Amino acid sequence: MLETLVTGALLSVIGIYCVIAKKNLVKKMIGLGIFTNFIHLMLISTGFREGGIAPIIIRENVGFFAAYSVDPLPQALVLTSIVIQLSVTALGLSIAILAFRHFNTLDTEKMNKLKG
Amino acid sequence: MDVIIRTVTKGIFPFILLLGFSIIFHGHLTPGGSFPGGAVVASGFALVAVAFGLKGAEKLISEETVHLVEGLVALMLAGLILYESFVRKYVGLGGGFFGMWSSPTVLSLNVAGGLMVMSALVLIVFLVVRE
Amino acid sequence: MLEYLITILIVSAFLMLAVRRDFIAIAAILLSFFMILALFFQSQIIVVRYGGWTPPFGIVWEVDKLNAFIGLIIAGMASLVTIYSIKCIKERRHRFYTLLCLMTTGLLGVCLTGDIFNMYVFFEILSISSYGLVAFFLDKNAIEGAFKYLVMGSLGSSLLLLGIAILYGLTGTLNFADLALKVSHSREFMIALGLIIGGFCLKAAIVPFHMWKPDAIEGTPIPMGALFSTATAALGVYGILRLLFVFGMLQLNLMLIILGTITMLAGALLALVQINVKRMLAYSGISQVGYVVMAIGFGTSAGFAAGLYHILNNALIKGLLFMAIGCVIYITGKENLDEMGIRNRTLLVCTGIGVLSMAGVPPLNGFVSKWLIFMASWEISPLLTVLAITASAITLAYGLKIFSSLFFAQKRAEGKIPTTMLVPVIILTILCVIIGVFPQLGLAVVEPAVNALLNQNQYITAALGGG
Repeated sequence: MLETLVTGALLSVIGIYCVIAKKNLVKKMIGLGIFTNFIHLMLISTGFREGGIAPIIIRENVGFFAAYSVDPLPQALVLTSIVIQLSVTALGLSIAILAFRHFNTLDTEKMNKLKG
Repeated sequence: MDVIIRTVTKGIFPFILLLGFSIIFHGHLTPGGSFPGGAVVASGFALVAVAFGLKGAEKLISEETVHLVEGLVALMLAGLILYESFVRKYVGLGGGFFGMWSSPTVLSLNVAGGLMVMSALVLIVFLVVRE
Repeated sequence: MLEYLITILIVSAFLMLAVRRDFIAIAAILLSFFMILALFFQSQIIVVRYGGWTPPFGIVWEVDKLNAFIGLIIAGMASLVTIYSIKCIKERRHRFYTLLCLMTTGLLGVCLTGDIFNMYVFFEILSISSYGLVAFFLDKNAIEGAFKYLVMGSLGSSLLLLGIAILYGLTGTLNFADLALKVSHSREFMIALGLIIGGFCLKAAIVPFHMWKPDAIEGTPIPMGALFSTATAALGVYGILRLLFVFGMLQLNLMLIILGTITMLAGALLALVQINVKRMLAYSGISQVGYVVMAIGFGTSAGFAAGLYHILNNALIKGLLFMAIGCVIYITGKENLDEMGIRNRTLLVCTGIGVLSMAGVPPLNGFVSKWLIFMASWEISPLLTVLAITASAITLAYGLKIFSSLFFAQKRAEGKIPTTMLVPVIILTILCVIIGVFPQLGLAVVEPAVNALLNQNQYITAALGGG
């Protein structure tokens, strides 16, 4: 439990630092991806059970599955959320490509100077 | 690109498609389903786009075809919902063809979602490679 | 019938991509408006269990009077924007309509659902299609606004997801009615509530989270500016209300009062110094949502009625002003206030009614809701009433600034405005005047929503108890 929280804290700090302090547009998108992955890890870890097995059910092990598996519902939620993160990252990188075509640079400070 | 990459792509591309569609079609029996299956199929097309450039990928599947696939998915979803509301007379055909027809609703939803994910990712890859 | 609503919108969005005919999207959004209107007149809570699974194991959609009220605002604004953008968007219109269909799907989905993760999924559909719509014109302003909005919006949605993760880890259920039975007021639950309300505040553009809105509305087409300021703001306030309802904390809330007051004053003051008319209207929208959040923070039923009535009026007035400004930009092609003179009698009357209503002048609808907010705030603290009246005075100031630079400028342009662009403006003006002269009509719409908000048992038994 403690390892989960420490890893989560490190990942969230790194993610938000990249979004705020890096000047390159692509690095900001990478930071956003790191922050979203932190939240996915937190979501999966809510379903943890000591000594649990992976939640795959076959016809013979229903009782064993009910007694020992980890919670499969957060894993379904994270699958949906990974696809959402994929769409946002794709959209953000497309906007970064368009910004490069307009300003000829990917640096936000140079973009600010260019607009005036 | 390099001749090694082009030759290997020509050989391995059908197997990537096969793997992707197998993940989609067995989504109700094995782990997977629409999202990972669609991503694998799209990565096959991405490989062709990287190896042969945009011209080669356009010869394989053009953008108009991708948009038509998206429209087909829409009609499939509409047909599925009408079927479930008005026509559904049997609960499940159980077994049949390696267990695939045991749940027609989930199978149809997986196929629709897999086609949709594939077309969306293929469009994104074509947009990025267009430089 | 409810389950076909989202189906129609999503299927029409996909069909638009393949077939590229505009009437599919227009028909779908107008049809959804009529379905929501039919839902609004039902007398009891409508519950739809998807796939036949009973809650708390299945996803359930539950529509009581509060959902129907907010859904009516959203669907009404979406259909007026659809009619408006037939002529306003001149090129690549089918892509605009596709994204508009998806955005309406997201808005209505968040509004009508009864399951918290379903709400997050539709919230993300709304966010992603609105990122695409902000970047629609592909020029410098649009790209800058879209990137800022994307980064800030993703962080806000991540806060929402983190709150949902904490709630699931603590209670083990995702259904609103089941959560209402299982939450307590301990510290971990308050952290989750704060995170989720933070996510919704970012969508509604409350002051610490408002930085994306002026740049986004400056870059986006005018119909989208109208939709962002009215429907998305209403949705943010609905999210805050629904979460407080589930937690049973609909009482005097100092944090919401402080946030609302700061938003109200900061939005009004920042609107006063703008030159670009789109940014001015964006800050004005932020200020009006500040009124609503302050009124919700009061915790009395008078406060809730005032807040909900002001959301309705904000939708009518901001929609009217954005669309009228859009007509002016269509003719003159300029967006700065110095260069926007125009000579058109219909627009003069409509913009005049909009500005007077926003400032709160008597026989119009803005007066009714502002009076209710002043009365509700007088019971809590007279200082809040003084601050609200100050913000109203500043609202009158920049409203008159817009009005005079449009119709009393040195050189005024002439032009013909297309009918499909004038019809939504005239509809909104007539609604403003009618609700102003007969406030009982507005109260007949708002009162059931307030009663549904204060009645938690009915919501829970409808979802969990009924067969």
